[in-house]
Amino acid sequence: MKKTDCVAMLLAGGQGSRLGVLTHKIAKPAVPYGGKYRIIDFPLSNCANSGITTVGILTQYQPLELADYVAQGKFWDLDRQNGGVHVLPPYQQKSGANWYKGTANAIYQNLNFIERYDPEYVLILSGDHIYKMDYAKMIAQHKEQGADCTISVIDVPLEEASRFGIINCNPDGTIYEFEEKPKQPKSTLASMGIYVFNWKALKKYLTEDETKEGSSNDFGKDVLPAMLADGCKMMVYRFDGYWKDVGTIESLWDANLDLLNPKIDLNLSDPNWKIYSGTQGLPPQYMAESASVENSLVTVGCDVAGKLDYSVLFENVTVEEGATVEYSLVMPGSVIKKGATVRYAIVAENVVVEENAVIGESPEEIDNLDNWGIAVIGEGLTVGKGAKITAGKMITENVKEDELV
Amino acid sequence: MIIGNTLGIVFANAHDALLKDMTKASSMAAVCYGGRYRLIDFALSNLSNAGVSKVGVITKSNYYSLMTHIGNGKPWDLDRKKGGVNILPPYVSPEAQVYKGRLEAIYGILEYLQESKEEYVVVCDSDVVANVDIKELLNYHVNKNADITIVTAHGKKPNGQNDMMHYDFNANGKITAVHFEPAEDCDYSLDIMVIGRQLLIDIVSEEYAAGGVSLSHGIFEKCSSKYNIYGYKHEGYSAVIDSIDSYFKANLDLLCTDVRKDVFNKENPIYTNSRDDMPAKYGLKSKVSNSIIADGCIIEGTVKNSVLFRGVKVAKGAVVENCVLMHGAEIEADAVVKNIIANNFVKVSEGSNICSETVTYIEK
Repeated sequence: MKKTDCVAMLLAGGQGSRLGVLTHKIAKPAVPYGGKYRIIDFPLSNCANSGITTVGILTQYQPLELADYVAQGKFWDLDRQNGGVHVLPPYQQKSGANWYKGTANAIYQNLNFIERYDPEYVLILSGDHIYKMDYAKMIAQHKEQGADCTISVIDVPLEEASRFGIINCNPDGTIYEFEEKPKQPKSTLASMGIYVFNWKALKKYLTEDETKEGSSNDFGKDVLPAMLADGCKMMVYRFDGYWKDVGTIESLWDANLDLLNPKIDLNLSDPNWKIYSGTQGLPPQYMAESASVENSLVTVGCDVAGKLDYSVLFENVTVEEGATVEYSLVMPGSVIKKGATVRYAIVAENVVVEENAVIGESPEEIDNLDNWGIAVIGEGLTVGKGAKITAGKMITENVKEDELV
Repeated sequence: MIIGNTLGIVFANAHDALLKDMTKASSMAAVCYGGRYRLIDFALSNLSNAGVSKVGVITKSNYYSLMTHIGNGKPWDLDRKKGGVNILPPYVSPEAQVYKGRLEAIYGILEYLQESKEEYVVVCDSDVVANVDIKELLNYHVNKNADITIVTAHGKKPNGQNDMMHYDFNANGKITAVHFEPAEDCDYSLDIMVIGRQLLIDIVSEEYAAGGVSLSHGIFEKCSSKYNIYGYKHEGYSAVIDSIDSYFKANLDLLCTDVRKDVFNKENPIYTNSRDDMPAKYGLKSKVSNSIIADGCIIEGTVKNSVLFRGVKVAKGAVVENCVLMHGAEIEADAVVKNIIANNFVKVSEGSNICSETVTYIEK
């Protein structure tokens, strides 16, 4: 195997349980986003655009669809003679078979994969975020500063800081403390879960961590604090672009509608930094005579004869005449039939919303806003004629005609 | 198995001259169509959908954009170890000029044909928009025990090409007469045919030696009594692109749902090169009706009865009606355009008005 400067390891094993029915059948990184993308398109496109062409993808939960999608990495130009994309599920070893116990253990179980490329650096990524980032710049800073570990951070509003892993550093960027979701944050620099390590150092700490009693084998909880305690040189890399976690229904919904916000700089077809996706062989969208479309994103294969406002339609979605979709995401292959209304909702893939059904409610319609939320319809379900789904409901079974949920 | 035993030959430059300015910088095959396609996508997808895995594309001139479009043939699943897609640039022997007709063109690739192992060849032009079931065509050819099978469409014969033929058939589908004159209600050629590879080599060598220049004249005038030539009627939609007007009409035909469902049917998709644009973005106060919109478009104005290719921008207050706007065209604020075909990256500046009575092609 040819020696490679930097190998990227993408942690894609998480279930994303807070996304509920959206991740019942697929891993979180495979969740559709932005009309024609999946979350994993972001780290993979970033790798391709940053010139990182050896990527290990660690899968565990519902890997089938994700592995299918990634295939040989051709959508992201990552089908390479040397390196390329490799899907790495847990496997049976001589000593026995183990699931990935934690993020650090997942990397530990794939030491052999990394060793094949004999890299100087290893880049750890996750499949949970929407962002465009040049990893090459981060690696360049890491080299320049001679760090053992560099952690990418982003400035978050003080009131939100307690939701994140917060990093406290000196003015020169040297890290002196980690605080996981602190009640009284001392800084507003949140870890983005993107790390560059010197491979030799990381290997040593991963191996040591395996033998530690009671370790959860997690980067944030175990490996990084151990390195800090030993006096390793740990630096922050400041990132100031768009970055959003899409781990919850609300954040996924928000991050999609951010694409419609002219104040947010998230151009996904910037020729200098395109986000690639696997869409193939679909005709352009058709807007019928009766269509009325404002503030929306619509993509290939869609057929719209109804009304759209503040919404994102994914591939092959049909919105029939007299149907209304507002403040909603409708994922690939779903059909919204005549007279149906979809509002403040996420409709997953291949759902049929029958005539005159009503899904979701706007916040104005609700007396007690604590009861309000985004309604979610799970993959492949049918919502019967005239049925009504109230705000914030998560639907996991077919809904009968005129049923109220 | 006839499927694995068939080679595809596509003419990229046939009838270039008919589109005048539109083919100045590219071949007929590379002309954009339907929001995100190029005309050759139909020939390549039809062949690929039928399991034909080896295709030679005969080029003549202006083939750079075609080459970048086809690349290694991945979108059509034609990146193969055995076969795949090959661009065949014009072969100029010391004594010959660049080929004039299809006969000379095929003569120029005789070696390619001779080296191929496939028993059958599907020969097609790239100026036809149609989703043709080549698998069915090949089975028909074999069942009829035909020497040559020609795909035909029914209706008024397109009058752009002066050598376009229409045919009379007997009850069995065998061609009994060939006509070149204009006709209203006839079965005309879609320039797609199946022929035995060896037979093609023989006819071309013989005709070339005898100083002939036209493949169809060669086949029909001299051979129709000698060979079993059958017609295969294509029942679905088809459009022959032989003028700016027919180009415009073929694009706008896609606004009809039945045409769209037929041309882009789900069993036999039409593939093209992906540009990885974001979905189309519709702004506040955008009004779009009866239109085909490609990804990467940003629409803040009004669009009606039009086909917009990838990355077209229609600014606030602008009105686009009855237009075909190619890749990257930009209609600035409050401009009004009607009945135009705008070339790639054409910019219509703020407040201007280009309303034409007849369809007008605007070059960059």
